Amino acid sequence: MITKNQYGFEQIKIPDKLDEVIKKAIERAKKEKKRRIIKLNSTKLIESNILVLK
Amino acid sequence: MDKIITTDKNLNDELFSDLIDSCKENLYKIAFSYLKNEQNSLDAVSETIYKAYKNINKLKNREFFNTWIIKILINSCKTVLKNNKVIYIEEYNTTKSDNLDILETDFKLSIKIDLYNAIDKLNDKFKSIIILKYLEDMSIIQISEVLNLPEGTVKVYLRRALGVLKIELDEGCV
Repeated sequence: MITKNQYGFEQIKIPDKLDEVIKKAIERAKKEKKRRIIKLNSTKLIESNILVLK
Repeated sequence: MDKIITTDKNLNDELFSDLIDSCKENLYKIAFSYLKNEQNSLDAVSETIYKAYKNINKLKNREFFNTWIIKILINSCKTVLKNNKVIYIEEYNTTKSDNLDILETDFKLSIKIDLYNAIDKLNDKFKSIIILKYLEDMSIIQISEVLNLPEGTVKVYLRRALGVLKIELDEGCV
């Protein structure tokens, strides 16, 4: 992202913990995605089992 | 078409991290311009990255990544502002000298930066346009894509916002 910072915006200090926050957000999203996939697979498995039983 | 979706999951993750690395500082600066608070800005950036990662498959073209993620960020900032409405009303109720103290201690920025301070007087729409135009250096077309507004409307809002800022800055100079 190429920008031409000016008008005082360039003086906004980037906090040291920004990288850590980003890392945690990505990890949280990955976990959530994994959980969703497991849930979806479990639902599919249950549905197929019900069909077999019928 | 430069598709962001690849079959390799690790490559996707790596690509996503690279894209975030290239824009993380600007994302934080936009959030801070909106929220004027470090913790809230970090929360907004965190939420943005979380949403972006979850929905990255919906982005067909990498070229639009920046526009797309800024759009998510602006919505996250608005949500944070909405959730912290009471706190902000209390801040606005403090005296003028108290407000200056908050700026000095919390933001560690010089009160002489007129434009940066003046944008707080603008409403959400005007503020978004001024931040995207003067912080992100975006074109009218890009701003209209991010904010989902027609180009003509963006031009009108920009002119009005600059009018309001001019009055604010003139008052500040007197």
